[in-house]
Amino acid sequence: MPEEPQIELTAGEEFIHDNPAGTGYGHSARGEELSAEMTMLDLKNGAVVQYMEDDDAGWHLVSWVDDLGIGRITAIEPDYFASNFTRV
Amino acid sequence: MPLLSAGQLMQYGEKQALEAVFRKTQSPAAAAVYMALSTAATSGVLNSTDLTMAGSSINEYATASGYARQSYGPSLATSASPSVIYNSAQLTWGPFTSAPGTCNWGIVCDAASGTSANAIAAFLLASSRTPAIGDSLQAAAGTGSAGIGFLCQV
Repeated sequence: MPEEPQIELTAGEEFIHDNPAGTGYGHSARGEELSAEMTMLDLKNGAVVQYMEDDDAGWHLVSWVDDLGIGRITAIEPDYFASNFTRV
Repeated sequence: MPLLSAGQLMQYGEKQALEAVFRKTQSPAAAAVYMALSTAATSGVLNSTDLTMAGSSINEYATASGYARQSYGPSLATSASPSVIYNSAQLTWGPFTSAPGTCNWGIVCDAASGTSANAIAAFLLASSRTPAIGDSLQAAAGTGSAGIGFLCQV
């Protein structure tokens, strides 16, 4: 499988979660529907995130606000980010 | 070796607090601090003399799992004795893309990522948690009462 193109990222840039399957990040990782509580806490399709920095494993740390209005930081796997997030 | 109990400053935090209070040095500038999760066993493992998140007893969740440290967002310290400080809002980690194991501790440090972050304080969870793939992990906001949120006193 060809590698996903690497995206040049700058701290503070905004991206939208644009998963072709229309599922959240957790739902996508699990491969099946989450419970109602976990669905509410998921990084949903359509959510806007702000890139912060890369962690030690090279995953992209993004900040976002969940459905409860709580500020969150989540690490996104780079290939997933390249194919499922688009610049706002 | 001094081992930790719930809501206790680690060596780096103790030194910073004492030197600021006794006017030996100026406090660090106001900045965000972050809550990490640790799989260290509930007793006999986490060591207060570990100065940074690279410490051998820290055992932070692996980063390649969706996990990231969350902003602690502390209240002002209470006007009481003992004075306490706690997270003013709910904290939520995840969603996890692989099972990160069982966490027993929260550790506040001074950077969102990286093992060079200074370890400030450790908090024993009231009960351990083992999130599954797709899960998010929530912690209640503090109120100043013991057992609610991540509460620390000197």
